[in-house]
Amino acid sequence: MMNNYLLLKFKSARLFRKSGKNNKNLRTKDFSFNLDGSYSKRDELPSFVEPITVHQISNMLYVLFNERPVSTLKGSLYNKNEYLFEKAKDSFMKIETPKYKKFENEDYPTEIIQTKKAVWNSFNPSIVLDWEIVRRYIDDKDKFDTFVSNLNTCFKFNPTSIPFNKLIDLVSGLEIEIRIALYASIKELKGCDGLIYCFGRYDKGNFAAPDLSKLTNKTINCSAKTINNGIENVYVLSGEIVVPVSDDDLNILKNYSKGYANILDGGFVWIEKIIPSKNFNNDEYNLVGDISLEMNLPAKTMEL
Amino acid sequence: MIKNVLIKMELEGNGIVNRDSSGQKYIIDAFDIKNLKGHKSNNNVLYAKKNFYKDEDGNVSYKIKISRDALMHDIFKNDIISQNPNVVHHDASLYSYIASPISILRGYLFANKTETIKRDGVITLCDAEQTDGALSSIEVCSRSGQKEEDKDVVDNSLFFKETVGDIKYLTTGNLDLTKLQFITCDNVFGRYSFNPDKFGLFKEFLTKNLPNFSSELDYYQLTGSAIDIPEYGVLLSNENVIFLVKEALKRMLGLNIKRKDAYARVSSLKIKFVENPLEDIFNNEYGWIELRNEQDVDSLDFEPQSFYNKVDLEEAKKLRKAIEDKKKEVDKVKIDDKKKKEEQKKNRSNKTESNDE
Repeated sequence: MMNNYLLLKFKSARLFRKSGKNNKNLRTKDFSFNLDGSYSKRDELPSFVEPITVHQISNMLYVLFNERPVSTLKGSLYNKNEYLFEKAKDSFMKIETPKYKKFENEDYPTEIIQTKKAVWNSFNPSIVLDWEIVRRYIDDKDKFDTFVSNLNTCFKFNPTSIPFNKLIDLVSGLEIEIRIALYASIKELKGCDGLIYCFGRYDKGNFAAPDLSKLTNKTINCSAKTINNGIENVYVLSGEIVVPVSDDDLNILKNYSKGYANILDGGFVWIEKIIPSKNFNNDEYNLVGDISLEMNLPAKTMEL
Repeated sequence: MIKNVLIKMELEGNGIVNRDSSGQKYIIDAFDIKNLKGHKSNNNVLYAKKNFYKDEDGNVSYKIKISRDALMHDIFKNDIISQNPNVVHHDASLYSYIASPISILRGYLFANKTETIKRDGVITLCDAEQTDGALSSIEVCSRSGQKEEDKDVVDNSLFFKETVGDIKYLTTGNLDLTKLQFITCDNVFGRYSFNPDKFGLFKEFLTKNLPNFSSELDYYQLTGSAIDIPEYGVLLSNENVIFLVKEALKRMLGLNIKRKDAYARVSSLKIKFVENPLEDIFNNEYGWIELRNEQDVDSLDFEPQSFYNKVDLEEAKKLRKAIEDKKKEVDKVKIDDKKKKEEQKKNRSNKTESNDE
């Protein structure tokens, strides 16, 4: 018998989600990490229309009761705890963050945050090359010296005395034969073809535009240039959750719980107090079981 | 036995240390916040990050805040400038990073082509929110620009900036001992923190970074959990857990966010050891310990509760059989899906080719 209610408060709960018209998610660069250790694009997953549903609250309760959370969208190898899931449905919630009028609709305020880049190929598209990157790319003293000496022969001065970016312009101004000979000498170095792309590849009688990314998109030799962070808009929500609890539940909490859990991204949920059932008025709250489970379509529909 | 460590941190400062985008102007105008509104047509407005609150009469007020990210960045600023995905390209650099006290405390996520390793942060902090009545306002500022040669034109510009005088903040949070004491390398619960085949390398760095580290890989069961599946990983000793808790608290004491025109630093750090989660709560004033300096942290004496029980290998194999069969099924479905997609792609391209002909 549920004699009491547990008043939980949550704060700084972040929601990374943008949906556009027609209940379709907007494109994002976020990733989702799968059970098998791989990752897939967030754009391929749907999301709930409501910011917090019974799934988020039940996962919060699992952690509060020292159980394992169960992923809703990515699937899980074990089953959810039905008792706690039902308890989540019988709980009450209110989000205290006020909504504001945005065009025709109402929306929660967003704020901008800095995000970290975790994916191995977060290569920097804006590249400025220098001699140190070239040295790291070639990764062999003899080969580097040969490369510099070949350039020296072309230009009749020490090429390292000018910035590498400037050298790319100078190479493009060389006579065709000399330029092709330079490319041949680079090819002879073996494993340094990126430098040819860097100066503009020769193909079918034409020189292509310089492609600097060949030097910095390479993950070996420490020459890779990656982005450390990006920016994203997030909702930051706070509010209250009221959970019906029996004496047995309180005993479990007392013995096994840590007294806190997380909700959404990094939202801190803590036990505020225990309220006897007769003192609880649910007027300002929504019953969690009544919260819609409608979903937005993925930003990108997977090809089948 | 301590289950959790609650944190209450007060900060004091002057000026705004954490800025939001100029997009906040639409929110401020919609909420009709008198002292800040009226800049909807200006793009060059610098706002402070804030939380908004609505009272019973529908009036909206706000409190200036410092985001959790800004706090965490400053707590670990002397250890790491930024997380760089480059470290994944060499095992030694990756494992030296993830076996450092900073990574164990702060958490990490590195995604590679075939393997993603991740660990949840142990420290949870709310955004630090203003506690006093300091009222911010919008100031007009100027920025010097370049003078164009041979022309009597200078590229100076005016911009608007939200400013405030002396201000106090409060943040609350906790240090999760359950997460702290166990480093898993098991994907069953979606928390694959390192590759068990590289445990030798991982252990080498942990031995260097933690006092008397001697834990080995084993199967552990979360106590009290209804899910009877042991998890493969490393359980840290109580000595290691206490060392890491103290490391985290020392870094929190040194929190001092500096900007060219503003600062915010810790004025008071209080912790509470949680034995009974229903009684040792934020609301209860009893049991808070004030930490003033590193000596106070060093003198802390507590015994963390162990949330994991070691499970015998044979027993673990038996308990995990069902879940491992299920994992094989999931993998099979995935491989079948991939094959199906490749086949469909092939059919599509064949179709396009025949149409072209």
